[in-house]
Amino acid sequence: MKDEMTSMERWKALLNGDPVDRIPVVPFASGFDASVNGYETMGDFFAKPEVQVKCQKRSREMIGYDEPPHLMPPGYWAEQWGSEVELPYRKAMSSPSVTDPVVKTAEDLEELEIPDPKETMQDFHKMVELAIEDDLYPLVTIWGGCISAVAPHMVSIEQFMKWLRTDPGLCEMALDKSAEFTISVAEWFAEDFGTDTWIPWDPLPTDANVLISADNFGELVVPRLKKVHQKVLDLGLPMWFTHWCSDHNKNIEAGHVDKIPHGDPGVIYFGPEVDVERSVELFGDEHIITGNVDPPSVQNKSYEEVLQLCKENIEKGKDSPRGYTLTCGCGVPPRAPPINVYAFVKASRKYGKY
Amino acid sequence: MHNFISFVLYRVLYGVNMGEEDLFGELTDAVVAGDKDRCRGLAEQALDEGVDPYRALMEGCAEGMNIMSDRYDEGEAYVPDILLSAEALYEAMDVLKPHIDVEDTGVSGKVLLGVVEGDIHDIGKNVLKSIFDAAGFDVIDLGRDVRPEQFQESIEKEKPDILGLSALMTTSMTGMPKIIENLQKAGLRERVKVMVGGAPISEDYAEKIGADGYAPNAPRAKEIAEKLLKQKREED
Ligand code: B12
Repeated sequence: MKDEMTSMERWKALLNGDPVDRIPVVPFASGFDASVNGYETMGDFFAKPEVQVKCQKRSREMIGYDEPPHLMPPGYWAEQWGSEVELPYRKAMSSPSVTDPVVKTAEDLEELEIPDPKETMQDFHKMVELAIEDDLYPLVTIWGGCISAVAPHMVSIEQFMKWLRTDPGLCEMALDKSAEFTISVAEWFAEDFGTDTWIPWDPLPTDANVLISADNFGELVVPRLKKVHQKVLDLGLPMWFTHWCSDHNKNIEAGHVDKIPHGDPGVIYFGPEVDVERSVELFGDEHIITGNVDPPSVQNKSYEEVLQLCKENIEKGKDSPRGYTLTCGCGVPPRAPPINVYAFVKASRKYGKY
Repeated sequence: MHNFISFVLYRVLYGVNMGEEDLFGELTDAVVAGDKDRCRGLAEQALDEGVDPYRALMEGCAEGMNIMSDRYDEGEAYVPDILLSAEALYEAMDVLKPHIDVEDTGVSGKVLLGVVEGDIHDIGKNVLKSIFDAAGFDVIDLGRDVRPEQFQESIEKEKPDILGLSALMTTSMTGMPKIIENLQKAGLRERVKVMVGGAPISEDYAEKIGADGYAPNAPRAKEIAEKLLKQKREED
């Protein structure tokens, strides 16, 4: 079964709205990539720019998927504020973890200064540069104006959640600061790398309706996230790849997701909580849709079963008007059997030809 | 009118002290509203008026926490609401607990809770803790990202009746069977009932790894814990 396009050709064609030979496979595999590259822990992957880029590039080559390197700064958008982060140098850890958020009180927040990207993001700049030099067209985390970039990165989730009820003005202040910071990072990257070499990416887990109401999201987050997204698009970036992580069904119903500019098209990426059929129906006319084979299955089920799940997913998404990618929930479990990730590529070749 | 008659009948038949019932109702409301100052005030009032502190806790505060966890489960309340309710609950508990005679509680079960290693998702575990606290369990919370050895050491030291393990990720859930295996090796497995939970966990998975119970949410977790405790008491 010979492919007609290379991974990079397929990825770029998808984003440009050009025809693709078969469904692009974008599994979100970062931790998994470290593991198949032989790293015992994910520490170096998150700590060292060259390791993060190299692992993703090689794993893509080996497995044959189409996702470009998907980049996260070592400080995890938390150390930059002065919070403490533990990098995943223990085997049981699958990602960095914020161990001590810098803001404890209202005064801490009021006094908190917006970091200077050029002082706090040099390693990230280097990482993005490495990927761009290699013509990898990376997905670059640009994270701000949403709860997910603030709690726990700047202030603990518990504190932020309580402020939502007792002192929402503080929540607004935290969101505003994060918006300002992330916009300045995007401006710097746009200036140094141009706007046609990378795609901004943001995940929204703690903005989900398992934690907060659609009303809170609408009042506090929508105006700020909208601002961040719009500013970045105004810089000339073509689109956003936004992961509406976890259950955003109430935010969808309230029309909030529609209000956030993603580009024309952007990529709207829901987890398994929103069925692909529904994503296509709601957003398929405007945006590229991603699939969402559930991660526990990819870790625990057999190759045949994963292939079948991919097939079902492909059938639901394949004809989405602006395009569709086969994706694994919020990401491939780092220790999933590599053959199950290959099942995604196999499924695209077998069932996903256009 | 009908309500009024049944109310009078109820009082005649059961001789319920209205002041007490009102106070319990107000405590419930204060927990639901997440109003910690009012909770503290009402708890102090309960002590002043000689109301049984254990009943104030169970029929007043715990009821409020149960209402909130049901509401969360039905998508009518959110994490900020639950956290504030839990805070209000603890405020009342602070006042009432020193006056509660352990013998009165009837529950007297000890639960050890923790989120397994590599996993920092602790919101669900914290909700569980407040529900268990409200239900009168003696709860020891090991926090999040807890190494298997820490669980084992605490089981040896604290001798809990129930071990509650939480995991929210496919990566971390694989730590659960290891903890159970370790307990077996150390000869501690028979001493403690093991409950597991968290988004990726299922009844089947719980059974597969040899846990004694699973619950998808806090209200159900409380029921299962009570059931397991009863079983344990019968076995002991
Ligand atoms: C909030 C959140 C976070 C917060 C956590 C903050 C905190 N202090 O807890 C932050 C942003 C830090 C975070 C980080 C990450 N997260 Co997260 N996160 C979530 C989210 C959106 C909500 C979890 C939550 O709090 N729910 C609300 C509470 C009340 O519910 P609950 O935890 O399920 O608990 C209830 C029941 O499950 C049950 N229960 C829970 N424990 C127990 C225990 C027992 C004994 C019993 C009986 C019952 C029980 O009762 C509870 C009360 O009703 C979930 C999505 C989801 N669907 O769960 C993702 C999710 C868990 N996260 C996920 C991921 C991948 C991550 C990251 C790896 C992302 C990344 N790449 O950075 C990191 C990992 C961090 C780490 N090392 O642990 C994935 C896990 C995928 C998987 N299956 O492996 C999820 C499922 C998102 C998704 N859809 O893919 N996350």
